[in-house]
Amino acid sequence: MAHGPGRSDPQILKRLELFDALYEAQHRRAFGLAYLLIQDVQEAEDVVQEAFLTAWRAGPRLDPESAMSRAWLLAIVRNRAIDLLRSRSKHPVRTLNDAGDPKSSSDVPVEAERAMEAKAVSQMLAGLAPEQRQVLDLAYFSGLTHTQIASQLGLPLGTVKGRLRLALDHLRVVLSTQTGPTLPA
Amino acid sequence: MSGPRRWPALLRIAGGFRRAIPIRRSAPHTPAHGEAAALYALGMLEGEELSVFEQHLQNCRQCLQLVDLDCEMMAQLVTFVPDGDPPPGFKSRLTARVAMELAAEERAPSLRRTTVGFPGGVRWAGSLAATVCVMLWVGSMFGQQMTLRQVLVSVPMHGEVGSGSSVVIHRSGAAEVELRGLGAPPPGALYAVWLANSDGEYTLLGTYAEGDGTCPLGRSVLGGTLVVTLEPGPARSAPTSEPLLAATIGSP
Repeated sequence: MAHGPGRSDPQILKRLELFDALYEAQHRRAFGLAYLLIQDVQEAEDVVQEAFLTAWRAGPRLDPESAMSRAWLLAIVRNRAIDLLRSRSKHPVRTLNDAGDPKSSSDVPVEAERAMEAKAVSQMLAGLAPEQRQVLDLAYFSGLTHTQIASQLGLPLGTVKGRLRLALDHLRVVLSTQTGPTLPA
Repeated sequence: MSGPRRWPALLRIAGGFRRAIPIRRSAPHTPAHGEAAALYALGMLEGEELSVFEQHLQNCRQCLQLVDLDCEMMAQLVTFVPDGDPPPGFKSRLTARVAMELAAEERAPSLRRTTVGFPGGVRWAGSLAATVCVMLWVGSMFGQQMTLRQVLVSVPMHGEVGSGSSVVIHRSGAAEVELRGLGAPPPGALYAVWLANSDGEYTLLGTYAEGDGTCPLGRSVLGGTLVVTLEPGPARSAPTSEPLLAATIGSP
């Protein structure tokens, strides 16, 4: 077997390095997000694997040091998880309040710790008015459409839209107090 | 991703949207548009609603700014999500998939030039690449194994002896050290292969009783420095002699 590097080998090695760096930096966050949304270890793995493969295909444009790349990867994870949730014909609607009640502890070894951390997200959203938090939770973490939210809560569609707008406006204020005034309200 | 439904938000996060939809002229902005902007950032608009809002977005500075801020916030919100450990063996399974992707790229060179997935890339190419992967997966197991055994890269090891030695990384992600020309060690002594990290810590990867041979490395060595030493007896937690050979993996 010839072992001499081919003409593209340095590029491939560099690409592997970048990918490995992104993996090491983001795989726990990515899996945490996928599991938070899906609540199934195997399906969360599938989602995260597909997201990283998408990142791999991005090739040398991927910069593991850049916040943009990290946000992009996590956005892919969330979008794929939401797609999966929506593809289930009848998936039980789960909100952040349920994150501390795992279905089974046998397949989720770090459940307790994760649930505690999930509550940090929950507390951050607690700064919103209850009705705003409810619609944002269903939209962002449960992947429901505005029509589904309206149906589930028995609200007019316009009310749901209005609450979501207000929720995002208020959340921006909450986030800016936690992370600095980078996002104007 | 099931369709273009959430691509706009994704593009916004990556900062590519402003280039994609330039402001043409001002358009009347209503509270309903503000609500649609929230739905848009959350990836909830579909079909005609999506088309109508994107049309409006081309002409409304206020909506564009709202979408910009909302998407930025969505990206920030994700960072508050708790970390989680994937199941054991996840990285190995992912590495195997990456290896198959690499093989697919080499078998279909025309596809390799196509950028996939990252904002600004060609959207349909993801499906095409996935199709190629599926085709590869349903190929013969023999073919797959041969592909995974193919050498991805060979990094020469440097030293005063054994100059023909190298570190070989296969497409499967497996790595091995090929020792050449070191000669047989003294009786009782062994050649030891170590992985050194940037903190100066060593991990023993394997030992050899011969100066010519192949030492499989049971872990990823990317980004590390491999060192070969001659140890007077069974290797301990760190080298006891000066390196005979060394190679840094990841600095082509």
